[in-house]
Amino acid sequence: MGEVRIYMMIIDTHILSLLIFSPLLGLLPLFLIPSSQEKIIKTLVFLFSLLPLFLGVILFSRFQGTGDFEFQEVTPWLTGFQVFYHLGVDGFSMPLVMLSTLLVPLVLLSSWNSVTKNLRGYLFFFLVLESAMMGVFCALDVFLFYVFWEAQLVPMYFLIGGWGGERRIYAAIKFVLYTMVGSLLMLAAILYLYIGSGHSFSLGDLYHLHLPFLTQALLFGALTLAFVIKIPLFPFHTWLPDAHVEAPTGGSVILAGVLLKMGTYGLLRFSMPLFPLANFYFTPLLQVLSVIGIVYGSLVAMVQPDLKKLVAYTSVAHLGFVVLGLTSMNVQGVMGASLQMINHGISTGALFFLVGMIYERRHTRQINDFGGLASVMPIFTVLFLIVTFSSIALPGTNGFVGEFLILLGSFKAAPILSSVAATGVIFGAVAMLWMVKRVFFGPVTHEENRRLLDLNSREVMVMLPLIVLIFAIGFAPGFLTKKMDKSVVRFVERVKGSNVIETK
Amino acid sequence: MNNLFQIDGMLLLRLSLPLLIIMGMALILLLISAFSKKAHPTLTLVLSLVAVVTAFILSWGLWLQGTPLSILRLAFDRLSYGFDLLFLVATFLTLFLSRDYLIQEKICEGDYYALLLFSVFGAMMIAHGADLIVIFLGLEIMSIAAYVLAGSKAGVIRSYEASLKYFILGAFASGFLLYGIALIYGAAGSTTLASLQNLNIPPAEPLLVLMAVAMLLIGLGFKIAAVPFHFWSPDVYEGSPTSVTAFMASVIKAAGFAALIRLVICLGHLPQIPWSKALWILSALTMTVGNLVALRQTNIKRLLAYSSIAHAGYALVGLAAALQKNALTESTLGAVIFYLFAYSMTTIGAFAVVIAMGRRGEDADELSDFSGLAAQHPVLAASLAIFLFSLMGMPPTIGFMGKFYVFSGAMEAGLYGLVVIGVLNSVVSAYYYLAPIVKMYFVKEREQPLPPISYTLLIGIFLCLFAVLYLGFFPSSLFLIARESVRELVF
Repeated sequence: MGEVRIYMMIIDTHILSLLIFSPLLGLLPLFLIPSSQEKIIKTLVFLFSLLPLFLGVILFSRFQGTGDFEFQEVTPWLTGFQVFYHLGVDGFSMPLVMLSTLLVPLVLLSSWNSVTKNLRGYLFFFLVLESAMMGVFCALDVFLFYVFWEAQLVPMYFLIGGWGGERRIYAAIKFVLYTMVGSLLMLAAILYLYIGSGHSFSLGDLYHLHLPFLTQALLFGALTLAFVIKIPLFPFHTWLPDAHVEAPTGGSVILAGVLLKMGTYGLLRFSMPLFPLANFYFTPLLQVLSVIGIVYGSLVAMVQPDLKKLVAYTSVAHLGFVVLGLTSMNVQGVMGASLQMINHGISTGALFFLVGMIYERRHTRQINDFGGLASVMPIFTVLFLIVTFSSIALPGTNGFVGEFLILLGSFKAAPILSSVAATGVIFGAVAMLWMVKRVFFGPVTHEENRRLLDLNSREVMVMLPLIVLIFAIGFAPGFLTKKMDKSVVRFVERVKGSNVIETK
Repeated sequence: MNNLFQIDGMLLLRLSLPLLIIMGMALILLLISAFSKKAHPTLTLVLSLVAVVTAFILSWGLWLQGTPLSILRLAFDRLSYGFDLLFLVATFLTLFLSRDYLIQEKICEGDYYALLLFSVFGAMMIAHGADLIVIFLGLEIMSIAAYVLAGSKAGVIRSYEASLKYFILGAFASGFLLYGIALIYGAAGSTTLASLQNLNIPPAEPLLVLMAVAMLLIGLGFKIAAVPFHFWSPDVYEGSPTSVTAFMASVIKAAGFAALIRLVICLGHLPQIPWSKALWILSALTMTVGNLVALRQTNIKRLLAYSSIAHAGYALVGLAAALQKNALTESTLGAVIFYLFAYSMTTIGAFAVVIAMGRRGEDADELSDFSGLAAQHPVLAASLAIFLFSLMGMPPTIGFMGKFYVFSGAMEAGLYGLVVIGVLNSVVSAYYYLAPIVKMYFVKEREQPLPPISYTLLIGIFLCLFAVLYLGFFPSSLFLIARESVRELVF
């Protein structure tokens, strides 16, 4: 019993470090086993990727939901500078960490047969990417956050450029340069913050900083630019369709599922609470941009001939909703936004998986090349329909809970804008349902589609956890929201409260 | 001022032993190559390595002792020993790059190693100079050896052209420097740095000092390849033997900065000189021009040459910051030294990979030569990729940490504009640093088989890789050494 207690103690004090670095354990089989033994490598890496998932489940079960940062770890990192290796999670970051740990094994399972060239490189970059992503969500030291933020750029660049489609090089470079413009300005802002706060990178200290309005506005601008490029908010979204279309399926899933959330997470963790005055001032701008993004994304999605591009544009709309929810700055809106971050990860991730599966069979993603698939691939059709319903926020699915809360919150904050945003829900639904109709219903128009095989058990296994989550969050979101409640309340207090104090 | 007869000879010998060992070994190597028709390639390498390692260990011991002393216009303080350490590490790595490259390019080994050591000796003399004349002498010893090294590729016209170009423009720069020293002598009546530090300009002579400093800046700006004194560097970097190019980018550039740092420390107090404005403009120009021109390069040695210009600009940001009034000078100057070390390790590594790519008789230094390298030789490709990411300033590499230290120093000094220019330049640089990576990883074809890579070269690459990654994760100790180096200085 004593041993068990010691293990539990280690887990309580170091679980985040274990989580961040456990994916790197999977590198061992990559380097130790010769590349001719592909099957063994694949199996071992998959099994190793279950370890972070297992740790994630432990994290979830031991997470209290106090609203404060839990499982904190602090170790000095750069002596001479006040840089700490400081980790911790609260109700916003814990679900995102969970989502990362869940999606990576699914990605590995889904690309079981589709990656043929340089498998070891592919797995290598995925594992490094997972490690960096979780670091981004766990870092409480701004400098550490920046390091992880930049570190995830490199593996994603290689994944798009190395295993992507025809215009992959263009897409990969565009992805890196867009992100770097934002992130390097963020570095300048972070350094200014460090000097201005009397030499601290710690988020806890920085939250108590009172800066003059102009400084806040400039710093808010620099940080928020980095985040809105990542989200991406209209009009900074042009890199996203390129990156999605060219990326391999796994890359798209992670990009949509987790990497985009880094932008919204950055907004709620850094931009908004650190610079309350500037946030108050810029909120209308962010709201307008997010509503434009919602309507524009949905409308553009409607006319896309390419399945992946269509899903990419609905992503722009969905993340517009998240930003709209955050900027409403009330409990419903923020709760809806943070739920929607998870929901979008699940439903869009699932959509990209499904598009990838059909692409593997037909090597095309053009909607016109399909039609009447419902009679050929019934399981695929059912799963696709469920995920579509989740994506268009049908009641009973996870999407509904998130979008409903967001609209509820934003109606209080900006009634006119959210009425416009609500029309975006309809356009989005039209885009998705029209696509579903053309792909799955009607007669089979192409002969080669008659011989398509339905999903095999491996592919069903990939989808199953996501489908379960869609309904679980849809019917009983309580298991998730009760862990997030207090963090949401605290966030709203922080963003609004300091506002009240300053304006007095 | 010490009188010649009161000097403790043993002390002087002990303090200057690292320099003497390097010079002594250079002379021995010269004799070996003069008397034996065919110098053994491994023997000369081992002798040079022994000298460098011994000098390194001694310098490290003297750095640790850390009592600043000034004897016979030579300074023995932590700054000088710190730079000695930097030069010796960079030379150590360069030596690993040299052995098989020399055989391949038919470069005479004995002369090569002797000249390399003479050049390092000159660099160390600059670091120890407490008098402008000593600094000038060091600069000349270092440069003249380097002029010859640049042209040491037997029978290759471009190597000769590089040597001649380097020599003529270098002579110009030396002229400027000497002229500046003469003007300083006119204003101060002495050329020792100590007298400069106590210089109070009489109202009649500010112009004289201003001109003198301008001349000195031009002369040193040439050595560090700052814009607009950079025109020699792409041609010389491209034409020189690649191992010499690595040496130039690391040791010679750092030596230029060593002289510059001494100069700004002892003249930085003069209010008549618009230091920060001058360095501000110099660094902004150097970063921007270097990076923009690099965008168009298709030859990797030229690309790295322009990148080297840009990196001098980043280091100058730190220097400009150190001269602001409200700055933490120690920490910012330390950041500059850290940056120089970071850049040296990374660029030597990158040039090492370029050497490894070379086939017998001809360099493989066009970007297209790198196509599909990742599939053929993953270790080499991954190494170059990591070096390029470090030059780009991506965490977790030493290049990122260097940029972080320099830019935070500049922020502290209130140079916000320069920091923004610096980070935007990093974005621009990302574009051209990604170009070789695209070729190596995303382009398939590669017909020519890669020549076998020698073990010494591989060791050199691995050492650079280790430095770049280890110090990328744990840069503190090196930064503390760099910062400690500028704490107590003598002239």
